[in-house]
Amino acid sequence: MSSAHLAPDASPARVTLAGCREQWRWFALAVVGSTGYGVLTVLTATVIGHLVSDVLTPAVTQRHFTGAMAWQVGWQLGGVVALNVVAVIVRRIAAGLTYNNLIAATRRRVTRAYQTLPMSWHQAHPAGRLLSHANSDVEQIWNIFQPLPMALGVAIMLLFGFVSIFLVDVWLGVVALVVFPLLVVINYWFQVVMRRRVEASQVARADVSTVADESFDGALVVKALGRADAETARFAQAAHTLRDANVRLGRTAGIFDPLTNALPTLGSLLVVVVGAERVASGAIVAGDVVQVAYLFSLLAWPVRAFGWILFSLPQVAIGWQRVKPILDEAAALPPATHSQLLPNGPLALQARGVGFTYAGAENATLHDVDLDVPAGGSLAVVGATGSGKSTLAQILAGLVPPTAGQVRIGGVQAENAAGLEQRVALATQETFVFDESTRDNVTLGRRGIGAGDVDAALAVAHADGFVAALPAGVDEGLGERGARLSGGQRQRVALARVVAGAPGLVVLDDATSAIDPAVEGEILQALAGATAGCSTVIVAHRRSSILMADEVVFLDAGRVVARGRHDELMATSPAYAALLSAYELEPEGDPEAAMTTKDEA
Amino acid sequence: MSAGASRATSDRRTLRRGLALAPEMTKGFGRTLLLALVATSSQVIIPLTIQRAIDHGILAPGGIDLTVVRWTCALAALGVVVAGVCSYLMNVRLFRASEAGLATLRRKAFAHVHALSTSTLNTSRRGSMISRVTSDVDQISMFVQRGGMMLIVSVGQLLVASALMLWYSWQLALFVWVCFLPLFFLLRFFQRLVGRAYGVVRERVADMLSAISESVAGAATIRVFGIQERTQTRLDEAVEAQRRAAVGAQVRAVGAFVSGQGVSGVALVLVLIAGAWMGSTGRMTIGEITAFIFLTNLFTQPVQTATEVLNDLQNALAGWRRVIEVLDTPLDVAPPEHPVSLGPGAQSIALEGVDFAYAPGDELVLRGVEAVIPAGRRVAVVGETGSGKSTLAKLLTRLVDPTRGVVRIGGADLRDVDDACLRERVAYLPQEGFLFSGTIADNVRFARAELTDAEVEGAFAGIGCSDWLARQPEGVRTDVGARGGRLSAGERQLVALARTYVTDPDVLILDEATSSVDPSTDVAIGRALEELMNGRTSVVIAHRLATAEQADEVWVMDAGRLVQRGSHSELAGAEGPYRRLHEGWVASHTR
Repeated sequence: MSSAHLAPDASPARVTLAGCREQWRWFALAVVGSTGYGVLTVLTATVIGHLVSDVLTPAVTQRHFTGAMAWQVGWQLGGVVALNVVAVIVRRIAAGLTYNNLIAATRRRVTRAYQTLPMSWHQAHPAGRLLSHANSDVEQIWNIFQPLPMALGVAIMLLFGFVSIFLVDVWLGVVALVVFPLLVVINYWFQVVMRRRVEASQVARADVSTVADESFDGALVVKALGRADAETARFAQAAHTLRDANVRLGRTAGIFDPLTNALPTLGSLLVVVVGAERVASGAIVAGDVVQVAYLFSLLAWPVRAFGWILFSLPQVAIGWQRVKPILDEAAALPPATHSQLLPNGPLALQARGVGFTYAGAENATLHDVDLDVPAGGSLAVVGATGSGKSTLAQILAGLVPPTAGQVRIGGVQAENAAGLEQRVALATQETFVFDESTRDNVTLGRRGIGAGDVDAALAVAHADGFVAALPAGVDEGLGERGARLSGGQRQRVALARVVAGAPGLVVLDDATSAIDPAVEGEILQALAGATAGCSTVIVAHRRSSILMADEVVFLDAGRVVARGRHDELMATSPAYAALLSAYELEPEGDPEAAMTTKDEA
Repeated sequence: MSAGASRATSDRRTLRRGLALAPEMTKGFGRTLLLALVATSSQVIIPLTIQRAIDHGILAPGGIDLTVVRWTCALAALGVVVAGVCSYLMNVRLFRASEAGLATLRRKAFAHVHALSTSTLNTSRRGSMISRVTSDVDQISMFVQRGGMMLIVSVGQLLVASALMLWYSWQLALFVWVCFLPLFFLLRFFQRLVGRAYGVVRERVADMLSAISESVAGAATIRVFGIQERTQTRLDEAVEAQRRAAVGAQVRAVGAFVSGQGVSGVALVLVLIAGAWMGSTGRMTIGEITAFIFLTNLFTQPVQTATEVLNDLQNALAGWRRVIEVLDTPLDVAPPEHPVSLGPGAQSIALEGVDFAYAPGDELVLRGVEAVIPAGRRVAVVGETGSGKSTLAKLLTRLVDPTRGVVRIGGADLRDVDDACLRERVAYLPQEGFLFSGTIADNVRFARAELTDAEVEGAFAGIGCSDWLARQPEGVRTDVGARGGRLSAGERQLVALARTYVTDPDVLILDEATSSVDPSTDVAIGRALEELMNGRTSVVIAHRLATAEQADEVWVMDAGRLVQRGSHSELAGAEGPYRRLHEGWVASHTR
């Protein structure tokens, strides 16, 4: 948990250190394995050097080779290689666990924060971004743990390697001191330049994707307006930008590969030249030259790990800056004060001076709304598009706290009410169906909703028919976002969800908009029967729905401009009458000759 | 074996067809290969130099000879630099050729997708079409960038190293080959294991992402019903399942990595023993045996790489195959061989015995539709959900072709009409009101690029929506967001209507084009459209009474058949489906 206490702008090193602490057991094991790997890799070269001097040279020069000599090669070289294999296994598995455990732990914290943060926070943060915070940003923070243990091992390898080269000969050591730091610098430079190139390529790839996505999405419009050629030209332009970005990327990679290959090779050649001089002067023997040259070839590749580390460090900070504020905001939430119990039975609803302004918006969406629904009563909210009806519905259901005034449900201020979720239900035009069965979508794991309750709720919402027609009935999965259902069917499942909870207050926000008018009427009747004992707020356009309410409030630009019974408002409020009678007032209009075929799909 | 063989032939066919579709890819490939050969030969410079430096320099029979060492190394250094330059040139050529080819492939596939009919390109396949021109081509691109280069270099390295080994000692070379042969199979085995494990990881990641996505997109529902804990339990499970799968895959990958390390270690031990024995019998020198040690090391990495690249190659070929599939999908709404143009002015429309099914063998959506609309007349089409109204609209605009029968416009078979002419003269406005990201004006200009802001404003005046436009924060320059997401469904329909309005068509097909706008706006638009439809042939799928009432003729669709035709007053007075339909509307709207 230590990482949770760091500031959002903490340095990459501090974040990395926090990660080491959090998973210190696995990380320590990875470091042990890595150290073994570093030491044993250098030992491999040393052993080969010795075997060339002690076994190979006498065997060739004295024409004498015995089983004991073969055995010496076998146990010395074989032993070092076998130990190294074990060290690499330990390093890689422990490093993998460190990395994946860190990601999983941070992901759990982030998703928990998403659950804790209020609806208003979610409204201010696009879902797509939240998804990438929990996914790629979390990975970005801890990506450094993939090369980190290896890099520590390589550091030890280099140190040990340099020592062993210097022990062989000072001059050969100087060659190593020139070649390897240079290799690290080239690796780092490559990572920095490559990052720019890779980013440019990713941006170009995203553009190609966006154009394709949008163009295919609007394929009907493109075709209907005869714009296919123009769209292809637009796409070709994006594809060419991507092509150029990839070629640039390839050119950079194309320089790097030969360079990192050539440098240690040239280093090895230098070792041979310098080594030969030292052999001539009697300072070392041929086996020593072989040992150092071999070590060069062994060290060249692992040095890349430093490049990866240097590359990953800035990413740690970027990921951290995106994820940390979410954890901080969730941690800074005031403790919930859901202390007051709601009464049993229907819940009265009272709004006093309710106003609402969206975060960052200049103008308020709602102003000074007062309304009352007695326990068991019903209220219709009517208004033109954009008048603030849906915002009001969310506030009345206690989902979003008002920015001014207060809402009392069952006599308790909404923010303080305990178990509000169990007693107040909201259904909106835009339903959300989970990727699970109808049964689970209706119960939502809530206690006390049995199989009979589910069936009854589905019957009220007129969803029993199409659900029964599914191969596994109520237990059939509905697909992601309920993809197997039409819009109207999804709304019916959402209504069943509301009914099943036997709430004391129901808020319906255009919750039947996608349902065929004939069926809609029947559902509303059944709903009225099923929720007879509870208070109801209904946001609606259709007169048939409005007529079922005891009282109507007429909302215009976020204010209540008229209230009363429907027939009263028709008589006293011209704006209300105009909104509800638009279809009747048409020139030559004969209200009896009206018709529609609302598309349910 | 036959399955493997047939896959190999199908791979070859894919490759041939793929390269034919993107000819830039193979341009100058011979020269690139030549460069690759020179580049890879640099790998054996070190073993060769060490052998010569030891045998003829350091351990020269007549005592150490430094001149030989210096010259050998200088020559080798030159070789390294030349090989490096060749390697660079090879990389650049490879990238340039492949990327040029892939850009062409993308463009061709994209154009073909747009040429497919709307029934082929239905919503369920839309996502997969996008990945044809994006991720599938990316897969080929990534293979070329990483694998292709590595494959060439690795195979080259193996060949050059083997050649040098054979030169030194064919017995020992054979010996090394025998050691590495099992590694090849071992790696194939591990990689299949790893491949499967990463398949599981991808599934778990997808599960986890959809769980997180649900918890975020369903935030309101979760809070309304207070099911945060249940949701979190699922999230924790999904995160844990992903972690387990990722760790599992990594453990298996360790096996693949370590087996290479182990085999090369064993080979090294055996080469040293066998080399020492051969040296003791005078068949090899110390320098040659030392060179063998270096050459053995050159074997491990290419064998590891080659097996990995083989998997990437399979993925790339699969991606390629999918792209080719799209390009080979026949156009079911084919362009006419001898296109005819439409005459000037309003056009008549005729349907002659039209049947339609979305796919061969599917249930007919339209059956025996027979009707004529004289030029300049206005028809309203009504019917229940699923009665075939929208399909009829699509047939009239040739978004699909009839399964049987003929649709005529101005007397000409729609299948013979020049597509550009058809799109210019016949406007079709579907219900969805799809908008592209950009401003309101950008969307209207999608139909006619040359319009000024003032002309765009004029279009909104023309459809009776100036008031709405005036309320937008930046007028016609208001950003509508991705897919028009910042506007409501009804507002999107207004912009789409303005976009159709500016095309100034002779035939107008509207499919419930204002179904989501509020009643008073809808009525205002209705009045404005009256004017637009004057003197033009129009077919309007109706969703409100006035449309049907003011049309010259009303068509009633039921289960794919045209069951009633006549004026509103005739039909309203008669028993039949029309009367039943309008009673439903009256009940919900005007009681």
